[in-house]
Amino acid sequence: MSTINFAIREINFKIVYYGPGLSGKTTNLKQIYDQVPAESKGEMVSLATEDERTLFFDFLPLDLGKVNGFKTRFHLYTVPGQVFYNSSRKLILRGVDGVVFVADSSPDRLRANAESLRNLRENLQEYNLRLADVPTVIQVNKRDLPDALPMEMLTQVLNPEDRFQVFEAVAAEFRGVFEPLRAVSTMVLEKLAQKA
Amino acid sequence: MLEPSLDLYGETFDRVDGLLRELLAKSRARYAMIIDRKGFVLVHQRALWAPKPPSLDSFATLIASNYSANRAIAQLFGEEGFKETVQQGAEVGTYLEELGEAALLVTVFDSGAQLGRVKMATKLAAAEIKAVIEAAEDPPPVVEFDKEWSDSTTALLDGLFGTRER
Repeated sequence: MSTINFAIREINFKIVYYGPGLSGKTTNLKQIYDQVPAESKGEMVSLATEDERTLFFDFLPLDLGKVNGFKTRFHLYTVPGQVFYNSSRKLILRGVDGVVFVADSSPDRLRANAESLRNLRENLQEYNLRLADVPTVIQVNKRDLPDALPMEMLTQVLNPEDRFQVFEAVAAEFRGVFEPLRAVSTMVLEKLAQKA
Repeated sequence: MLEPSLDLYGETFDRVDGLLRELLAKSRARYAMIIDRKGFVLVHQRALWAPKPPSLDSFATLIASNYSANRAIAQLFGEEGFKETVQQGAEVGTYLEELGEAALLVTVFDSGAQLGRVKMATKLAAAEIKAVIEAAEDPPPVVEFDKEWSDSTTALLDGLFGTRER
């Protein structure tokens, strides 16, 4: 749920980048950090292992600006993708407003993508949330791989009912990085507007 | 509302803000702040003599995450949570008290403050802040997040994300 701070007139939203290990969640945040102007971003925090795998989370605060006197801010988080860090993933989903699911196009990662999406559903249930309740988009990353899985196959597994907006990306080259973030942010804002 | 939220505004905010200032004076700590459990800063105060704090966003996020992780560790052993969360470095330390289900009160102190004094002052402040919040009667202000607001905010999104693709 968004946090509205009436005293300092701020609205804060939490967007979580979810997905299997090595799918490119941290790369997305690093690219966003590099591309957003200095006045619109805060410090990026990464809690990673020595070999640069996410241990707990990455965090990047973004300032959108003021509307009707309220400053609008997005806090972006990644989760650790490796299977055994599930406790950390659950903690990071607390208070989530929107999800960017980062899928991996590598041919041997189809099952990992499906399992991660199922894990997202299960972890949201811990907060009495259904995936359908949370604005979610799918970013299919690493589309530049020569043996990338066909989009049809990935969408059949991850989005069989065509519920989610899907974006192709090569996050390492900053292709398709802003689009899913913009889409999920818009959905989050629309959801708040609908509730009002 | 799935997540508890602490609404601080108007007179309640002013009183809580005053209690944080008192806490700093009594404890001789550098900073005192209330953050929600998702890691957003709700209100903060800095002692007049204290150096500029680090990024509050980063600090609040790490404190809230650390609190959640510690609570999860306690629960592995059948505890609801740990009663005290103190961290002390060579120069700087933090002390944390829960403010009900919604928020955390954090005090940051240095070697010029005594830990016992910090703990006592923070516990007292937490109790007073909880009482102030519970006694608050005014409903939160109504804010119109209508389509116009949504459209304006989306325009800001376009400004930030829409024109910067390579």
